[in-house]
Amino acid sequence: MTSFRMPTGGLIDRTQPISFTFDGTAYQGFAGDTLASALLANGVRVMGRSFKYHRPRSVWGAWVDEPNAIMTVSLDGRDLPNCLATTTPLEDGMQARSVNAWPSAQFDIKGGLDLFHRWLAAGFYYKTFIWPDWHLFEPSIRRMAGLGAVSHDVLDGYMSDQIHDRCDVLVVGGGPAGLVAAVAAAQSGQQVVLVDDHPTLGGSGYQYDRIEDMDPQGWVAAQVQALTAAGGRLLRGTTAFGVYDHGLVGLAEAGPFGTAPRLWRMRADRIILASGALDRQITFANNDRPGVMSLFGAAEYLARYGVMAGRDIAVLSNHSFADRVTQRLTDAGARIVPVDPVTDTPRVIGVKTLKAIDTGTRTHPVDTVLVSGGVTPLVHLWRHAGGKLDWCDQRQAFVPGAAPKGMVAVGAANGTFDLEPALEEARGVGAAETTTRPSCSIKLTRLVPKLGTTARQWIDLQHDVTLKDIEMAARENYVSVEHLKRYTTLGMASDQGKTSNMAGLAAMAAVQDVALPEVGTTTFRPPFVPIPLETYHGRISGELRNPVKRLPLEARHRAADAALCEYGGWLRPGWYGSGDPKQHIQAEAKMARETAGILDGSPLGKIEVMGPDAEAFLNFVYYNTIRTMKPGQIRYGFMLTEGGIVYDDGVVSRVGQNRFIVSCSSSHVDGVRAHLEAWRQDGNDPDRIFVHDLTQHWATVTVTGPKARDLVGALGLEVDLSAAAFPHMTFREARFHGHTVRIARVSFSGDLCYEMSIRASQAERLWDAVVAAGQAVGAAPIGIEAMSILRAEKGYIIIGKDTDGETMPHDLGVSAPRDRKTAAYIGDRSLQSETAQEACRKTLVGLAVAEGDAPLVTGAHAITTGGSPRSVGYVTSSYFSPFLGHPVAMGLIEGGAARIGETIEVWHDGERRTATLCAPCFYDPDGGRLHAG
Amino acid sequence: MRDDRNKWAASGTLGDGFEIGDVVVSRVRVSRQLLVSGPRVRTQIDVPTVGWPEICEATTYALSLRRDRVLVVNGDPVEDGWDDATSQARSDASDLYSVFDLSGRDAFNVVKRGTEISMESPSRSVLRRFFGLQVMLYRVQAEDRFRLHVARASEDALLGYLESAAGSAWAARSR
Repeated sequence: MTSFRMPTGGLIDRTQPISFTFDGTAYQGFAGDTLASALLANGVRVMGRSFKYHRPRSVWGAWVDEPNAIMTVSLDGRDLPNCLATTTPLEDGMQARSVNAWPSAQFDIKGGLDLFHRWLAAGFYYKTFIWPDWHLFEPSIRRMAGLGAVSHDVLDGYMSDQIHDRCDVLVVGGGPAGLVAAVAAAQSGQQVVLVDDHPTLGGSGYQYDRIEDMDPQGWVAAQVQALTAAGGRLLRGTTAFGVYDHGLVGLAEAGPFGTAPRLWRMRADRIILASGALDRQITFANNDRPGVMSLFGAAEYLARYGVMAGRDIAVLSNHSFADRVTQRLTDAGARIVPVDPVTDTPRVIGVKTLKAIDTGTRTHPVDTVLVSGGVTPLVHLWRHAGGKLDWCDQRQAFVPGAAPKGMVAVGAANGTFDLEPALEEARGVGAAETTTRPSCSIKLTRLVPKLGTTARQWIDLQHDVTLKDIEMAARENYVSVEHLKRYTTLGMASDQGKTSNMAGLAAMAAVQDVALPEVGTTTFRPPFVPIPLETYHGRISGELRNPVKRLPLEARHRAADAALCEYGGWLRPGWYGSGDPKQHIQAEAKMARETAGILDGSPLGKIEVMGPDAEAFLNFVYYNTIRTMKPGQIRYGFMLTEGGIVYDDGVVSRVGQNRFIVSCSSSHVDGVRAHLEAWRQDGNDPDRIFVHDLTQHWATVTVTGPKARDLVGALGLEVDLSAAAFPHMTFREARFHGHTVRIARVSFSGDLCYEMSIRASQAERLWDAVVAAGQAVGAAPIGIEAMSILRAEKGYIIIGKDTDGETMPHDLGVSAPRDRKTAAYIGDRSLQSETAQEACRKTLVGLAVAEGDAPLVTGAHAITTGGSPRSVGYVTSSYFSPFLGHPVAMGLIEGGAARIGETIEVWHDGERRTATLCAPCFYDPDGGRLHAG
Repeated sequence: MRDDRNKWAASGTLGDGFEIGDVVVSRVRVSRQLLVSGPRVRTQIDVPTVGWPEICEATTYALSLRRDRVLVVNGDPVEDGWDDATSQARSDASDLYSVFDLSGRDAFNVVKRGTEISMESPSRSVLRRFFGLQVMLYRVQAEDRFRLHVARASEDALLGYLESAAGSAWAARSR
């Protein structure tokens, strides 16, 4: 194995050797190396296999512009897939494996696929696998596709820290231009943050012999010192991966290997983009072979890592800036063969090892081909922010044009490729001076891809897109650059076209015989480099993903062996007891009908509406009439949307002339509050109506059942609970151990019921007293599931369960306000529409089954009879009633209310049953138990 | 219907607070919280009004929530309901919000993990979206002492977020 490591030079620490393996072979590198630089230094060329054809590939670039060297890396038992070898810092004991290759990148068993390339051109699977069915082939193709595989093991502690921050000036890029811009900005008194994705600042500065008469390392150190002295902050190893609205920049800060990056959400008043530039690819025959590399990538390997890309090197370049690199390589001992890509027709010879380059007239034995078809500013972030691009003929590149608000580009990112002018420009921009783009000394000959050749010329190394694919796309009329991208997958892989976009555009321009800027560019979107999904959710996972709201009585429920379930965002008791839930639920429902059930109803809405216009406001917000209510009264009502659809149901209590309590459904509290706040400010005087959501200030203990009065009476609340003194749909205030208790005689069960609300800190005391009093009458806590049975027996609905997105109040049998209410209310107009009047609307009915039959399945469809049955509605709620001894069910059925007594067919999962339409109330239809006189 | 009792840690697992690294989170017992709304409420209230980022030194104060709403902390008891004389709606909210103090060298670093905030961007309102929860956030008594009011049912979530963020802040400092 030949070593390509220089005896001196670079930023590596030769006193710290590092051992690692690649595809099972042991190698050695140094601290400061990347995986790629260490492998190159060891003479390893084949570092990966291409996506489709499994062609052997080596590195193209030295940093994020790397399409080929993608590896799965293991260290200390932690596996990370799809690591770029060029950006992964080398660590002792690392084990790297090439992705998309088996058993190794050097000897890949699927390498033979390349022999079938004629049949595997762009979009081949759209055309090939049509008969008999694409889905037959899809699983195999998907198995073969993709780079890297995610380990089944979850990495312990792999959580992304997330932090917000702000600064006056964010400088993206720690190269020479970025450094001086940051220093100038900090010295002018601005709060500056400088980010750079390398662990070592300096960018391409190390490729120069001297910067402002200093050696590059000394110069970089001086800038860093000046920046920190002026109060500037540095974030090394941090990638600015996206620019979002209002100056928000996403920064991913790399941590130790195997840890998730830290996400900085940085808000900057001004962003200085100093992200540098990349080599432009040149398309020629076999330009993907290991040993064909970016010219400036090779310069970077030499400058940062002391690694020579090769010894006998052909340099293909069409511009004057290549000379400086060529000279450095020559000085380092390389033999250089210049090749002109404009006049010559180069072709690389060699498969895994590059042997020579044929220029069309002569064959040069070389081991490396370095390529630079121009310099392309890295403008991804500029485009994220909405900046425009201008085409520069002299540079043959897109350069920043009209600037987005708060962003300015400097240095190579701005097309200022010469060092001295770049520093001058950056200093001016840093100090917030007005600058214009300096002239550029680059001399460049326009390159046009040579079409129609038999040899394959590679455009997108990562997705195996060739010049022929571009030509075919054009033939098939995918000439729009966006269509071209999607048809060929050009620039769609993890490198996001950093090396392929310009080559692809140039190819399409050549095919269409138009100038390159006429082809246009595709859309740049974040992220600039692949970011682990973990980065985006951070600590918002597990119990913190969507945390449930907690009841003040949760400890009591847990102690009582409650099964806690999520209902409308709250963690509530579904039933009490372990084992078969059905038994517990049925027993609780039966107990509530025979004695009493005690329910924690704390999440019920308790939204106070106050002010001189509160009455008129609620009369407008509710479908039902509110203004006739007297203090102490409670009224059931619907809130509708403007479309007349039932949004919520609940009760309103009138506490006083200017004070109401809206008790909406538990899961709708946040929505109803927002609904009230929105309407309060629309067509009303917001200074005369105020909405206080006090739901969580109050805990509610509900007692329901024939023994409820006895139970509540035992609490010593000093309230006359008789039906005459305290009738259904009224409320009273009482005192419990010195605290106010609001008692509402409302019922969701259809039985005598008291809802007692007390401030949450006193909830346990009230609960304990109620449970203790319950023991004397044979009552005990019940969960939501039992309550669901009770309310279904009575025909009481749950919005969203027994209604859908089309249900209007008259579909539920409540039509009086529509017919009689004269005051305006939300949804009024929609209730008068033709659609609202249709006879075939789905209306709420009860569904009775034959004696001995099992309950219908909730969600089962009511269907028409005959040859082609269609759905005419569905079962919304269905239970076995332990008290009634038979199933009860409700459904929304077309024209249902007018078809009472009719027997219909109900279909579910291939099974047909019959049910008879009936009134939805199965229990106490005359209300005797509800009023409990 | 699914028994998730073991999926969620019992409420109150983090008790009244915790200490991680340079951050201390502790429950604060305030005597009273009173929600007051009215068209001129900010000028009618006779206790100091707190916004961001001033440091509250008073025992009794009013948190400015929005143009027409404040939360009076540790004030005198008043009758709930609509007051015609002042055109104010008043509600006892003492059990509506749980109150915690967050203090220590890394306290602000924890705060910055929960919300976009800076000392250079003042706000009349102390209402913030904090780790996705609505809270009132302000400083009391010291530069590095932050007070948070959160809806009672979300206090477990808030403590969970603070614990996680404090761990991250500590790890960042130790890195």
